[in-house]
Amino acid sequence: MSRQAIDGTLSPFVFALGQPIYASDMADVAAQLAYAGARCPEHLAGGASGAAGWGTASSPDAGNVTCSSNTASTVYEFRCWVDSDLLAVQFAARADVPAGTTITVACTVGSSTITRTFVGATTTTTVSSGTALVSATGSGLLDCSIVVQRTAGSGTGTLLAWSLHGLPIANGDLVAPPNE
Amino acid sequence: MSDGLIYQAATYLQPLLAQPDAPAVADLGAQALRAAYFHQQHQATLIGTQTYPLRMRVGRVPSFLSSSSYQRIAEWCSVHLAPHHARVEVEAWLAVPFVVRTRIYLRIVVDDGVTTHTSTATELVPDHGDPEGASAGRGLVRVSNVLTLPATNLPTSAAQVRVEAYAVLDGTATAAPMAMAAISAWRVGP
Repeated sequence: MSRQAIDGTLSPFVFALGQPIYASDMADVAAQLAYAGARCPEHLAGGASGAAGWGTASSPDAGNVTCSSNTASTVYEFRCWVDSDLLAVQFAARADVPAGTTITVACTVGSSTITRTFVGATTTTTVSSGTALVSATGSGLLDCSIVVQRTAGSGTGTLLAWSLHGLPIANGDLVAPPNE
Repeated sequence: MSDGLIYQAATYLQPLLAQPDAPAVADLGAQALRAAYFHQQHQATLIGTQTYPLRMRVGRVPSFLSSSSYQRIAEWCSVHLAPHHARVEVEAWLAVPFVVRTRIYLRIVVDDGVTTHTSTATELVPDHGDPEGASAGRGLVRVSNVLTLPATNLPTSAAQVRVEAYAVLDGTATAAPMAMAAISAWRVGP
């Protein structure tokens, strides 16, 4: 059974002292809470990682994460809390790859890996994203890593920015807790 | 009512709601309403914090950004923004030499996929020779900014939030040296 989520309006006068309270009023409040809560997914991790000029000319060095090896290289390792209430997480990245070169950026979250492929020459303003279900990643405090690898060509790719965050939950997918 | 009581109210409402014919009392209703308001007004969810690698070694100068146009210093891609997210707030910690007056310009840019929204802020860092009370001699400077989000084009899960900055020697068009330390951004409810 899914929980009801409604984008409604709650009047403060409904619950003024002396006013009658109906069971439906309480359900409205719960549905409003569920609506807001389902649409506030957490941003789990992320940041910029480019070399100098990664944003626009003269933008400062922000980590300088480059990829020029045909062997997979781990560039970030961290742990993040994936709440069991989440349904899916999304990994998004932006990369600068020269023509003739292809790199992959793989983000592992718990038991699942989201891989994005950047074929050069990339349009550096384009964000590439992929999702993984929390049923696959697992929940709780999970080990995460980001691995880059060159899969074609001989150029040097640069990871410019990346983000890992939860996705909002649609009304029909909002699962009720076990006690309801 | 304390925050703890509000949370408690939200917790023990759930089993009761499972029974449509259950009696409700005004106090319970009021607590539920307060819980709803509390929930919506405290949607300060972190977009992220970016910390720059410590590159200010001895004998090494900080970054020089452009002296006239904003340069990107932080970015979070594919950010989810809901209709009840009223604004995006940013706080940046920057290191500047305090031997000269430095004027820092900080800008928040939110691209919701259709429209780009911006908000700018300015911070003047006085030099150490300024009169007493001028907050002189600061090496690490906190600069904050708030961008009010319009309701149009929301919700979206593909917004890009960027922080951009430049710094000049005050009263000139000469680029001032500065180093980024840490930058955080939040989504905030009504």
